[in-house]
Amino acid sequence: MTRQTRAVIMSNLMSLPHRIWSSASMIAAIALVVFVLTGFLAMARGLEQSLAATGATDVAVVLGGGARQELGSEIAPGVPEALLAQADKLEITALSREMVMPVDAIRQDTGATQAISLRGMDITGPGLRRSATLTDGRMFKPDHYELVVGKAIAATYKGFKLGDTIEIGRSRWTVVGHFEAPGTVFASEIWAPLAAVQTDFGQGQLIQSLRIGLRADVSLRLLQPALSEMDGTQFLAQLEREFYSIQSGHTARLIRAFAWPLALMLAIGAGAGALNTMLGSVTSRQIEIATLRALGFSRSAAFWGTWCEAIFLASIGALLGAGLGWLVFNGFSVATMGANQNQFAFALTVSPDVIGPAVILALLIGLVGGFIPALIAARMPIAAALHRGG
Amino acid sequence: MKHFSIAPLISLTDVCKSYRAGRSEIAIFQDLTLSIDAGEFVAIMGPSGSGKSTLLNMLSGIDRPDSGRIRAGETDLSLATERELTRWRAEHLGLVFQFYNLLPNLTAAQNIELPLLKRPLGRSARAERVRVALELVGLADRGTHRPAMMSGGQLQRVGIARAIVTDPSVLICDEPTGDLDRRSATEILELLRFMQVSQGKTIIMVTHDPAAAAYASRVLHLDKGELVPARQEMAE
Ligand SMILES: Nc1ncnc2c1ncn2[C@@H]1O[C@H](COP(=O)(O)OP(=O)(O)OP(=O)(O)O)[C@@H](O)[C@H]1O
Ligand SMILES: [Mg+2]
Repeated sequence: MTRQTRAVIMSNLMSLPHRIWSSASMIAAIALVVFVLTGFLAMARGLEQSLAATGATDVAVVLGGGARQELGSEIAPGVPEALLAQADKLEITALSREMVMPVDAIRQDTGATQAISLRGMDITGPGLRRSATLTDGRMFKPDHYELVVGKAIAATYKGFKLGDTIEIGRSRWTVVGHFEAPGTVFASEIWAPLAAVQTDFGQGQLIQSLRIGLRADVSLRLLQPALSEMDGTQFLAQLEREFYSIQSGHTARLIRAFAWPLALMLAIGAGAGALNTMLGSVTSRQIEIATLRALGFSRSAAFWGTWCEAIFLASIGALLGAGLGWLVFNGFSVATMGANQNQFAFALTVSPDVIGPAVILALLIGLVGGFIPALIAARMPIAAALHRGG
Repeated sequence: MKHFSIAPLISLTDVCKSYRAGRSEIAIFQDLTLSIDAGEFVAIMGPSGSGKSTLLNMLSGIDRPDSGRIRAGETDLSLATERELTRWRAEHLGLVFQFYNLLPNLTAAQNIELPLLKRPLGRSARAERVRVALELVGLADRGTHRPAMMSGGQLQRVGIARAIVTDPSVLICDEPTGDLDRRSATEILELLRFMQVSQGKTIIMVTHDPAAAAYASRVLHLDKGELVPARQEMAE
């Protein structure tokens, strides 16, 4: 960059206080774009992280009946026994038969009714969730109508304090324990013995899914052929991490597919604002620009001076929006529909890969909005500008 | 700096220039022919709207004639590209404006330094040139002042310092004293004459003021875009 160009840039930046309101409006519009986009991308990212944290790599999730999620999946009762019979050969360390039912719960704050997940599982089930730890009370006993409740659920909904009894389905259940599973989907679940859940909801012997502890992730390669030899419909055996990341992928994609068009629409508005601000800047600096050009400053110095001013303002907007986004959104906890159409909570994550695209969009707004004004500055007819101004 | 003993330094041949005003065209010059020798101090006078500024702008290469030729030294300004004109201004011209046209955010010294930024000069060499220019215009101790803190006469002296800091061969001044009181105007005119006499600059100055024109070695009268014969008594 030439000394001339640097001098023009410096002079423009120093004169910014004279155009404070118009510059501030450009900064604010760009900051808004960054802020909004940061919020949505942080939501998508937080969701992905929460679901990735949920999944282990040495636990397999087996679904049957061609289903891709637990709802709608069905596994014949003989399958778990057949698998356990060859546990050593298949490198299986533990197995839990499970089913999930959506149940209504009443929020403590608003009194609204929302669906949460009641998971029936074998007594081996909790042990297959290493991220979950019992914080109060004890684990449920097999065949009893007992509940172990995620702490976040207990804090949000009515009737889940330790010792409470609550009506679910056709029975009364006793809350015997609380667990926590930070940052995972499990934290938003209620756990109960499988048989009790099956009976309560009149589901007979229904098993939706199997959780299978494996000696290592590669053991999945033994499990898959063993399943395909069994009777019944098509099985899907995935590592738990994969299972959740595929699900989060759908939702995260949906959020992003909504966020980007919105952000781009805001960006077009901000771009028009930037164009307006920078045209105003060129108009108010026309004597200065024409004078410098008359003194022998090049067209490119006039161009870069204006363009850099636009980029500078856009950078401030980006910084402001990203900073505000980080302050407001990072760690911000939201509830959303989980994979089984039930509430689950996760924290938004403002990471570099969230801020990055938002900041790049902001800079693009500056680059595009400042380009034409910069061109006008560069091509300004010197005599006419001096004539108008003088 | 080049002196031309045979060809004039600056010459206009059959220059035509008009402006659009809405749908009609206003002809400013029709077949204007004029030459100025190196080392002359030329004053241009004439009623408002007669095209004095337009003439200076074409001589400065910041405006172009519609037809005709303008030569300055070895450069044909009427054929030069924008880039060549810019370069020609930077190398050969010093410009002085009626309203000084200083950048308000820069100090006097920084304003004066501007035309030097294109030269292959280090920081200290530039500072030295600025110091000399400030001294020449009598503002040696005002380098760090900003325009807002200076009087009109001082501002125009900064303007002249900025014009001469690159040691150009030609100074073009559009009503340099038009905004000044008599005393400041006299100082500026003395300074311009000093530049002509002791530095050998060619000076072309537009003025409304006969007393200012009296400092020139030749006075041109423009009326309705034509050069009317100079009345000798005005020039002396
Ligand atoms: N860029 C321009 N566009 C349109 N018209 C112009 C332009 N520059 C000058 N004119 C017109 O051309 C005519 C001559 O203008 P010019 O500025 O050269 O006059 P002048 O002799 O310098 O007048 P003054 O003494 O008022 O400065 C005027 O009528 C002016 O309005
Ligand atoms: Mg004029």
